[in-house]
Amino acid sequence: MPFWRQDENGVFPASADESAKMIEAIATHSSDIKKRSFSFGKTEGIVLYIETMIEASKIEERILQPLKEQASKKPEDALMVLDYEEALSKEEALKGLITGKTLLFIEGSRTCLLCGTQKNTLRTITEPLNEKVVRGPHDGFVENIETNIFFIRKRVESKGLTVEYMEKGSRAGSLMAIIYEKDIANPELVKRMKQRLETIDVEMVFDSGQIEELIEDSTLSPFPQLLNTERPDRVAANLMEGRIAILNDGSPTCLLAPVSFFSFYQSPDDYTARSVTGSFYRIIRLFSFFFAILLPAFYISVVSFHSEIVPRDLILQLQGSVEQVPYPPLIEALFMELTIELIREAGIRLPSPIGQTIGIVGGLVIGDAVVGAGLVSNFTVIVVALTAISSYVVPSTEMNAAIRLLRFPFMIVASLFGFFGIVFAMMILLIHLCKLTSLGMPYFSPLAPLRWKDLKDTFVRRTWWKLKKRPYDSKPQVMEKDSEARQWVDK
Amino acid sequence: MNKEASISSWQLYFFILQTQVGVGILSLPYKVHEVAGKDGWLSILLTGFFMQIAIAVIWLLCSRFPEKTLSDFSPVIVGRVIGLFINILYVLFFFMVASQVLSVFLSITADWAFPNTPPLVFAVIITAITIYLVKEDIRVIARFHVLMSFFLVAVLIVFIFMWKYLNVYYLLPIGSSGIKDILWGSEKAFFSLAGIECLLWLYPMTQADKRAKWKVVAGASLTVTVMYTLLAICTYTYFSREKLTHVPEPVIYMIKSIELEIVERLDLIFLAFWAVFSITTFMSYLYLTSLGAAKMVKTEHHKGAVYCLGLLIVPLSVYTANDEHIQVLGDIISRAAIAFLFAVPLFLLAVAMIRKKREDQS
Repeated sequence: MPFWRQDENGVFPASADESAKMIEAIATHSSDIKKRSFSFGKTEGIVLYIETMIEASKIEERILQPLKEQASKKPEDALMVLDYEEALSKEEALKGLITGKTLLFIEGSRTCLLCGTQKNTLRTITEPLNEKVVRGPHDGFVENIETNIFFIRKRVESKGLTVEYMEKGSRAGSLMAIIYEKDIANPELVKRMKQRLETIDVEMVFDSGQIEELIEDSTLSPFPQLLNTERPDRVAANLMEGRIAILNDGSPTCLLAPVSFFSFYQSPDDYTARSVTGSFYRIIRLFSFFFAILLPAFYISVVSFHSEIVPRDLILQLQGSVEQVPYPPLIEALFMELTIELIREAGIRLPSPIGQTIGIVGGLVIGDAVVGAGLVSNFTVIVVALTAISSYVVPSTEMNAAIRLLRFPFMIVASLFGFFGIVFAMMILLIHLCKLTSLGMPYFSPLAPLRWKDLKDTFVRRTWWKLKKRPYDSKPQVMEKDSEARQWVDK
Repeated sequence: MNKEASISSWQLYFFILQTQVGVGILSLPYKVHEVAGKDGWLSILLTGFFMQIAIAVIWLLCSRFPEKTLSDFSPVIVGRVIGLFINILYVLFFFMVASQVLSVFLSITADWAFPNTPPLVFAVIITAITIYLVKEDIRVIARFHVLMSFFLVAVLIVFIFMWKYLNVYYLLPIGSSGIKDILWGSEKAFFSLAGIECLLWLYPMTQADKRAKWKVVAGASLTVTVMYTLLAICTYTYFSREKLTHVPEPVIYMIKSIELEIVERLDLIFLAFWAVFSITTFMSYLYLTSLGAAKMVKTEHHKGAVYCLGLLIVPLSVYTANDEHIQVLGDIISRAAIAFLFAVPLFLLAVAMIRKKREDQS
């Protein structure tokens, strides 16, 4: 005779066995769905779970054992699980089962209790491979959303930090989280972001890249409009500037918006290093953008149109080197650039020791032999090598890909119209950047629209006590930072 | 006017600056020299002074109707029919200026860099780039113009390099050409210094107080006047009187003589910058034309007008891209500029004052 609450109107049959069978029937008869009957006191109970999703010891120690030892108590009181709720419908019970909860049916109770017994496998926390820093924290996100939120919360221990969960995926659901600092982030932007996320629908979310593509302003632009990072410190710093972070379960990558073009050129190293050196390297990085896009185009236009521009002492060497090559400069440069792309692609896919070998074979052997064979001039090899190096300087994989893609159209117009072609292409690029928005905010800020005050954290990194305001492009609610960074005065 | 699409006073400054600095930069000293001789730079200064008067008139006119563009307020002042007529004239004027800018650009590029490329190719490319920008709202265009203004530093660098070659005695005695010639010379500079008439359309789109708008436009015009005057002084002190009559683009010749350790022919690079300034001028005028045209056919957005005008302007500018046409059209536009910069705004202002038409609070 059940002595606890008896719900006549419960959705489940009074018999535990029947209830379990009902759930089993609507779940597919998968081999890893397991059922175990047990009795405590005079009562019968059944636990239903997916073997591969749960941790066996949790069921044993937190459900079965307490129930047996304290048979006289209500099960709610006896259970030793924190995450515990009552399923109100069959669907809810099924969903609980799929997400790794254990269903507990008790004879005669007409209810179904969901107990959190999920297995948590964590990869060890390592520094993200593509975002290494010299100085500063070395931890990175992992594939588990709760751990990632823990990282962020640990860094931003503020009452304003808000985490909002959202379930995405119509067939195979997964958890997403929108994280923002409520007192800083612009509510209008938070609303816009939520609205965008709510109105996307996919069968299954497999990575943040998919979400990124669905919510960004302009999909066909070569430039990424959401910053993605695996570094908790970078996320924390951006949250404090009023940006919004999106995490999804199963991906170690966090998306940040709204961002500007220049966010991609900032590295946490700039802020941990001394102001002067940080500024120097930031300028180098921004310089690399123009270098990577324009250098091959400039070379092609000089060789094919404007050789007068080369100083007299150099022109003989240039001529000597170029004249032996039978192909036009565009073909030469394209050939070398594509070779570099091949080496890169091969290097990524291969296991790392072989990848390095490919790099050496590609770089040294091909580079040397190709000049010796007279296919490509010495100068082209220098130009292509410099371009490759400068395109890898940018601390973001997406931006780096955009740059590598952009230099091809530049090379083609340079071979057609020389400097004028470069000017035309540059104008189109800049117009595009002026038009582009990230979550509705101008992407090329603070250059277009020009904001002098924000330039001090764009081209250079000024000292902390000069950075009194948050950047304008995320339109934070409070522009001023709370406190003066350096208050002491030397007498 | 749509309140959301507005620009700041600084953006207005750079918009006017980019509209004024254009194709003229290469040949202005030569053109003025033809009439005013060595005192051409005084002519340019004089034109700058006239521009300041025009700015004051246009500003007084616009500030009476702070929410309206010329297309909107001209019917209020002089009635619907004459108002529409004035609008059509302005649209035509802007269209002709845009076409002339493109023609001059095409003819100079053909002379200096691409003698064998058909002008049609460049006309199509430039118009396509322009349409890509101009179909957006004023904010994006202004942002782009601000960005492009960084290249004006290139002009400053030229002054620094030219310093040691200059011979100031060439300028003396100042004013020897006579007041009449200097005055006529200033007419030649009108086309190069035009651009302030943008204010007739941009006034309501700028978010700033009355005085600030006047200040930035006057400032932009002053900047360009000073820059052109310096450039003219540079050329006149570099070339002798006889030489100047043979070089229609003296500025490039002058820059050609600069030799640096790393770059031999600086003029080729300067020509690339000049392309930027020319295209931005073209963009501004095509934008103004399409704004006016869109108002005339009463469409919400100027996007459709931009496409149509772009299609029209390519054949026109290619057809007129030769020396005779440029000469003839240049003279016509210079005179028309006087009408559209002074006469018409002054007439409208006078009528508005007599009929007491104003829509501002004061």
